Amino acid sequence: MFEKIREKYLLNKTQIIEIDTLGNILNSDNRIFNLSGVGQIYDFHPFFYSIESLLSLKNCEQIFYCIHIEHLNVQKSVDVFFTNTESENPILILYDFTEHYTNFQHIAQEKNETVLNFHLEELKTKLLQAEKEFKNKFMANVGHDLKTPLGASLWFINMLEKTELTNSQREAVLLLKETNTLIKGLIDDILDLSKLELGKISLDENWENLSDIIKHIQSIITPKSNQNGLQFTVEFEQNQLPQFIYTDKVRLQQILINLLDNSIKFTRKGYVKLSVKNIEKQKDTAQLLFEVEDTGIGMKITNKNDIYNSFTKLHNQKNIEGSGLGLSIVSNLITLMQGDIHYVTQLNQGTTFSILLPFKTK
Amino acid sequence: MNNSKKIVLIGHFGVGKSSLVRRYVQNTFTDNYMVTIGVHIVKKEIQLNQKSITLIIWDIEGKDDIKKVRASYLIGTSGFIYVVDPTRPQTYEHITSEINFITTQYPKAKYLTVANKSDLIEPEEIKRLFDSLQIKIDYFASAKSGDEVSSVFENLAQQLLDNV
Ligand SMILES: Nc1nc2c(ncn2[C@@H]2O[C@H](COP(=O)(O)OP(=O)(O)OP(=O)(O)O)[C@@H](O)[C@H]2O)c(=O)[nH]1
Ligand SMILES: [Mg+2]
Repeated sequence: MFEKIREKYLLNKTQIIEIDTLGNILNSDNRIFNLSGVGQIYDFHPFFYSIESLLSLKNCEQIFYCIHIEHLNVQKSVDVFFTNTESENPILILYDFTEHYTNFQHIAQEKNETVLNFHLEELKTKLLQAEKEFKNKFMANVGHDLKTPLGASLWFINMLEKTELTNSQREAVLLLKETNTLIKGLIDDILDLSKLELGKISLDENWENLSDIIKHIQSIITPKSNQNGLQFTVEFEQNQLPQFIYTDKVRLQQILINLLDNSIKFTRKGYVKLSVKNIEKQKDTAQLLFEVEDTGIGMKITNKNDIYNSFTKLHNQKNIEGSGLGLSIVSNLITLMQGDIHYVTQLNQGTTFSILLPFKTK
Repeated sequence: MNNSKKIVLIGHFGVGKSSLVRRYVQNTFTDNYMVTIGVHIVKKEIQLNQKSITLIIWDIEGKDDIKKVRASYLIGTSGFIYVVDPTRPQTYEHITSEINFITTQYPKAKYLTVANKSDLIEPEEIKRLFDSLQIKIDYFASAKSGDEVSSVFENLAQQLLDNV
């Protein structure tokens, strides 16, 4: 019975090959690989070149583990045992451990792959970071280089304005001045954004009067919206709001003016509204909700966070100027202030931006 | 039998040993990682200056320590290719002692050091990196782009031809 079991389960897992000292195959039981017609062991598989140096040795035994051999479409992972102590001629014994080694491979695969993938992810992030930093440094440098000549040109325009000019010349100078101011605003945005993304802007916080801040914004936005035939309203519940907040006034105004400017730009008729609410009143802190609402053209959004990326232009309207930098500056500043920004928008109905910011109060 | 020489690729797992062999022998590349266990052996016959040589290339499983490589795999090796991944410092931090091991255990064998995956790093940066660590790298290759891959094998083969 044992012989039967051995025949069925074990013999097909081993193969014995007899060769001569020149590597010619003399005998093979062909249990795993069919070697009939193969002259030299080297023609069987290149692995066997490695036993060439053993052939001349006396009383040599050597085992080689886990050799992958493919022959006539049979693929096996075998251990190879070499001996020339048994008979006159060298003997090779092949043990088929394919299943065992395949399991082994799966385990190693999982382990190594995890390590390598983790490393690749890390590498990618680093590369992206470096790219971003390069972009920001580049922008900061270019922006800086542009500022000096632009300043000079503005100075010359101001000089020109003071000279005696004909009406049409004066008109031209005014236009020139407007254009230059626009460019200056753009460069300031670029510089701001690159500094923000490089983490080179810190807040300059002080105790500020909240209603003064809002009044200042009102004084800037009201004439602009009037010019565009829009109504600008401010909702400000004085008794619900803290009188003093600890903040960087300039940056807070920058955020709100930026959003309001945007609203005016994209609204043809209707209104633009700013409201301020106190969401969470504690003794020394408050969460203020600023909302900028318009009845403008709205945005067609494919990716919700895309709008805060620099250089994303949301509105493909050709007649509306803007670099798309404004929103990324806003979102960067809000992050710096540990706040949150959200928006809802509907095409041809309008957009509302909501900003939640925490403040120390008194 | 003609002039055959055994070449073994050594190095940590995932540095690209199998990929280098695949690029050299089949001129293909894949991003899919298939971990080698044991050894895959391929043969390639080449001509160098009218002399022919048969390379028996042993692509063995990666080990972080050459002493852990099965000794039977290294019997009769004429040439070693030590492969590192320049993006993973662990793969080259002990290269000097690993090379020492080769030169003392296999004094007659030739060897080359290769930084693979050089497509992932700027050429200047990669050279500066190894210079600063005083590690001698013979080839900055990429199995992915194919850069310098055949030079590695041919240079080693040439050394083995000169050796006889
Ligand atoms: N970018 C890039 N990736 C490579 C290069 N060479 C190999 N790879 C990738 O690196 C991973 C590992 O490559 P392998 O050739 O399997 O590495 P190995 O050294 O044989 O690994 P082990 O068999 O586990 O020792 C695979 O995902 C390859 O696609 C290369 O030159 N450039
Ligand atoms: Mg491999």
